[in-house]
Amino acid sequence: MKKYVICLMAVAIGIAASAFTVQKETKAKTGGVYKWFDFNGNLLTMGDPYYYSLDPDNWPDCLTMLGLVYCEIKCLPDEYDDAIPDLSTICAIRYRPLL
Amino acid sequence: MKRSLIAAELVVGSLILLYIYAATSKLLDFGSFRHVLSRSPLIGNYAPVVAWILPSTEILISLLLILPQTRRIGLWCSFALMLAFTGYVGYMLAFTPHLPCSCGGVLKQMTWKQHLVFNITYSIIALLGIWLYQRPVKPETPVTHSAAFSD
Repeated sequence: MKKYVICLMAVAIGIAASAFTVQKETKAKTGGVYKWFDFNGNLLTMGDPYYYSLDPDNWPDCLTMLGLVYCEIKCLPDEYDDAIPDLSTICAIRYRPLL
Repeated sequence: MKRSLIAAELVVGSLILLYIYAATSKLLDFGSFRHVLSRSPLIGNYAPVVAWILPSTEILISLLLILPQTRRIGLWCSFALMLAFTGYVGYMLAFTPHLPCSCGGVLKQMTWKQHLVFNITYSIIALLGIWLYQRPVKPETPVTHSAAFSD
């Protein structure tokens, strides 16, 4: 146990220091405009905003209202990057056809 | 002998401290970290994957350094990782110096040049650790050869 003392102390100090020094970016909450985003991934990547791209005509081309995999979503753009969606603000979804 | 052992332990401790601090800071502010990575001209396309791989690698190397059996591998991995970081910072400094740093915590406050010096210093520290752990250990008691030639 004695040989782990320095290592464990380093781990503890590292975690404690990061907890006190991380400055989370404060997002400016502005009243954004909802936009349509096309989904380019699969079932497993639906939660990753980097698999979405801004719909050029900002209009839903998919018509299916029920399904498993997203086709398009309507939401606010990410506050850091307008090209990706903020998935916590989804207000409308169109799905890919099941058949 | 004892002094070099303490030096080796301090080298390993400082590397673990750096990796745990950096990994935890990245994970605590994951959204911002991934966003900054996505703006990198080198790895921007792979940001979602790299954002997970980087802190995972740092934690894995820390574990290798903690366990005495894998410490030497951990030191080699540390050296390789610090060299990779140095290369990355060197590239960014040469081609895109205006971009913000994707590291975590207080390390984010450093300029690119300070980062380069910091990474080179830690590469040397990792190399020092490898040297300290690879040195042949001198036996404490003198060896007598009389037994070998007694027959």
